[in-house]
Formats: sequence, C-alpha cells, structure tokens
Amino acid sequence: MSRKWVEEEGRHWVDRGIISEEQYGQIVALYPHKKIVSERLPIFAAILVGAGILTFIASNWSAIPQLIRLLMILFAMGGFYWFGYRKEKRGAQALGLSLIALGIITFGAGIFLIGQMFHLVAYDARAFIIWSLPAIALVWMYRSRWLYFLALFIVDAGQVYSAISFQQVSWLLLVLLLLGTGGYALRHSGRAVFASLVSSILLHSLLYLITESQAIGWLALIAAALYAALDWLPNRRTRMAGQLAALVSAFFLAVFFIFLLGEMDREPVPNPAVFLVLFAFTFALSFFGKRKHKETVALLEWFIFLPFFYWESAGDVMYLLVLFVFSGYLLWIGYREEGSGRVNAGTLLFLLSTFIGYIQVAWDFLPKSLFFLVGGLLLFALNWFLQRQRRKLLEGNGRGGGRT
Amino acid sequence: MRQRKARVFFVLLLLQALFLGGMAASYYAVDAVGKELRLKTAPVDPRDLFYGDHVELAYEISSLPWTLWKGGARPDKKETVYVVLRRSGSHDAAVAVYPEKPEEKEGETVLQARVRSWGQPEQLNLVYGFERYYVEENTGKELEERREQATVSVKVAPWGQTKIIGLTFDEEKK
Repeated sequence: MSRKWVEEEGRHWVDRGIISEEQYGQIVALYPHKKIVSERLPIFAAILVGAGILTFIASNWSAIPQLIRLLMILFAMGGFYWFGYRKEKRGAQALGLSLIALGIITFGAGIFLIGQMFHLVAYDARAFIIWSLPAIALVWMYRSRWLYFLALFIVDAGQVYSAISFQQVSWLLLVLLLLGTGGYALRHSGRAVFASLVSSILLHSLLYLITESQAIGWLALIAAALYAALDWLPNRRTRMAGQLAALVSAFFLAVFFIFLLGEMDREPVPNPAVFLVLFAFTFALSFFGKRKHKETVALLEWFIFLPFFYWESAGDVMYLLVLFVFSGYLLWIGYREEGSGRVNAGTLLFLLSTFIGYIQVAWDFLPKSLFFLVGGLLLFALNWFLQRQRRKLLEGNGRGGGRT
Repeated sequence: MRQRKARVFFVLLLLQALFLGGMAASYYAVDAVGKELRLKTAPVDPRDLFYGDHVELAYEISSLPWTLWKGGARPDKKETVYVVLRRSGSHDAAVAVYPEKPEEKEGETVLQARVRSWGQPEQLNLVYGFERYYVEENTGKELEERREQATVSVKVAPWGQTKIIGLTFDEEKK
C-alpha cells in the first residue's frame, strides 16, 4: 500500500470518526515516503550521460585514432566499474549497481569495437561467452536481480546469435546458463528470477531442437521435466512462478501444434518409446514432489504437457481442447485462491484460446461476415460470464477498500 | 569479507581490461612481425549483402579444387585444415591443403582455415577469419560493387594470427 493511498483514505476515516487525528498521523507515519525519486533520478542521469557519451563517440568513431579509441573504451569501462563500486559500497545500491551494469555493457561493446578495428569475423558465439563471464561473476558477488537479468540477456542473446548466424547451439553458453545464472537462481530464489530462468532454458532447448533438426515435440518433455524438477523446490512462491513460466511455454507450444498439425503431416515426432518412458518418469517425479507439498490437485496442470502431436488426425482439436481446459483451470485456481495474477493470466489465455479456436476451426465452413459476428458475440458472452464471476468473488470478500 | 570482495572486484576489472588490451596488443603485434600476403578476391554468395559498415569478402583461396587436398578422407564441415600459399606473380595463391600443420618452407606461408558448410560441393570451401572488411559508415557501396576485383593485404603472425591491413582495387594499381 502506498503512503498516498493511506493519506487519502485515512482522511475519510477521521471524518467518520473511526480514528482520531492523532491516530491518523501515527498510521501515516507507518508508511514512509518511498525513496523512488531519490533512487531513480541518479540512475536515469547515469544512463543519459552514458548514452550521450556513447553516441558522441559512435558518431565520431572513424575520426578517432585507433589507439585513442582503445584507451577510451578502457577508461570508460574502468570508470563505470570504479564509480559503481564506490557508490555501492557507500550504500547507494541502485546507482552503484547500474554503474556496474554499464561497466559490463562497456566491456561487451569493447569486444565488438575491437573486433571491428581489426576486421575480425566471428564464426561462433565466443564473444558472447567471454562477455557473459564477468557479468555472471558480478551477479554472484552482488546478488543483484538487475545484474542477473543483464547476464541472462547476454547468454540468451549469444545463443540466439549463434543459432541464427551459425546454425549451431553453443554448449558453453548452455552450461553458463545452467550453472552460472541457474546456480544463482537456486540460491537466491526470486519469482521473476525463476520465471526468466525457466523461459531461457526452454529458449535454448528450442534453438537446439531447431538447429539440429530434431522434433519440436521434445520441447514438451523438457518443459515437463523443468516443471517436475521445480516441484521439489521448497519455496512455494518461486516454485509457482517457475512452473507458470513452464506452463505458459507449453501453452504456446500447443498453439504452435494447432497450426502445424493440420498443415504439414511430415513434421517429425520424437521417438515414442523414449518420449513416453521419460514422460512417465517426470510425471512420477512431479507427483511425489506435489504429494510432499500436499498439492496433488495441481497435477491437473500436466494436461498441457500431454503429447497429442502423436495423434496426427485429431491432434490439433485435442490441443485446442487442452488450451481451453488449461486456461479454464487457471481461472478456476485463480478464483479459488483469489490470486489476481492467475485470474488475469487465465482470462487472457482463455480469450486467446477462443480466438485461436475460432480462426483454426471455424474458418472453413463459416462465411467471413459471420466469422466476425459470431466471434464478437462469443467474446461478449465470455466477458459477461467472467465479470459475473469476478463480482461474486468481490462480494464474497465483502466490500473491499475504496478500489474495485 | 569486505576486503576480499574488493580484491575480487578489482581482479575482475583487471582481467577485463587485460583481455581487451591483450586482444588489441596481439593484433598490433601481427602488424609488427607478420608476413604480408596479397590475396585476390572472388565473387561471394548472393546471400552476403552490404551491411552499412562492412563488406563481406571472399577470396580465390576460399574455394579450392580438391586436387590440392593432401590428406586421406575429405574433411568434415568445421574441421581445421592448413593451406600452404606461395607467391605467384603479384599475388599469393594456394598450392596445397593439409589436414595437419606442415613445415613452412622458404617463400611459403601456412594459413589455418576451417571447412565451411556453404559453397559449391565439388570444391573445398574454406573460411580463414578475415572475410570481413569494416569501412566508414555508408561508404561501402562502391566497394561492394567492385569487391570482386580487389586485392586484400593480410598479415600473418608466426603464431597464426591474421589481420587485414588494406584493400586496393586492381585498376588503381595499373
């Protein structure tokens, strides 16, 4: 709750005689002014100054002698790191860490600028691997979420670059992702940290499957395996966040299959025996993990991982069903646990499922005007139903606060 | 603890500075002690376009006849091979390709190369690591159009590192 909200609402409480003026003062004092402005201004200032210097250098780059360029890179990097280090040490966490992040970025820029100075061509993701090393080391040192996201971005960008430019996946980058950033996530779990880690692992896996021309269906197994492994994580919030990332990835994989299964039947499928054995094994792993946390009802989520791509003729319809069941399940769980995050995600995915189902199934036998008409009416009906559910939920809570 | 953190931080900083500095220094060293090669450029695959600040180059030595191959079985993609070059006329041309690094004879230069995955299958297609030439932004169009009749000067250090030192058009020489 923000101080502003308390200040405004508290006025009404005083007017109604619920609390005294003195109590009002005491309550408001419990909510100190957030340091948002004082913390964020220097960060934006640093970013602007950094961007200014960089664009100035970039636009005059070819006019500057090589040796001077090199020194400029080194001084910029050293300067960012040095000031970042001092600021962080003196307690200006946010500013210090953003300067250190600028140092990491300058190091990466330095690698590519020196490569350009000497006309170097890359034939693998080496530059990104080297770039990510100090980033990962600094993540571990400072245990900072923002540095973590930066390191993750470097590792992911390197892998995408490697896949697109060289049609290969860099194993070293995968190892750095799992041990470097993954190890950090395990030790300092945070929700966004876990969700982004799971998504990154799935991204690397997808790139691997594509570059090696393997069946995309394996991704369902990898997502399921990550999901099952997360069932053994003791912290509930991070577990849920990581699993939600795996589930949403599987959701989009299902969307992919809906469009693909009907179109081309040549899409290779994973070896069924290997797939099913491993799938059963990860399911068991998940089951025992969930039993430990007394969450066996969440086994319903496994619905989204089911490999309907083996069922060529009716696979797309089954996947469509899966989308509806899954988003309906999310809504149900969200209403039951009154978690607005899941309700919103569920609503969004439900709308998306309707839409996808509509264009994929209905297009063939409906005239186009009817397509839009019935589609709109369907969304209206759904909206009406969801609003009613939402109102019920709020009434069940009593009239909560001043916000609806 | 604080003390240790400071030390680790500055070791990290030093390593990054040393890496960048060392990278640059090694290429300056190539300039100083390297042997100069003059290579003729060749048409590139149409998929290579002008990128605004650099041109993609291909050389006559990028695609070689299999008759130059001195190994047994043909090498796989991405495998490392060694190309022996000898000066013929005003340019250097490939005379042999070996799977292992051969002894460098008088008047010859050995270049390390990797077998690339694209190109004509009846030829030995190689990349050397100097297939890109950076120019001032948006000045490369002319270069792009005439890059098939250019000469690129490359320096090769005794330890195998290479670096482009210049690009000239053949007409200008005449």
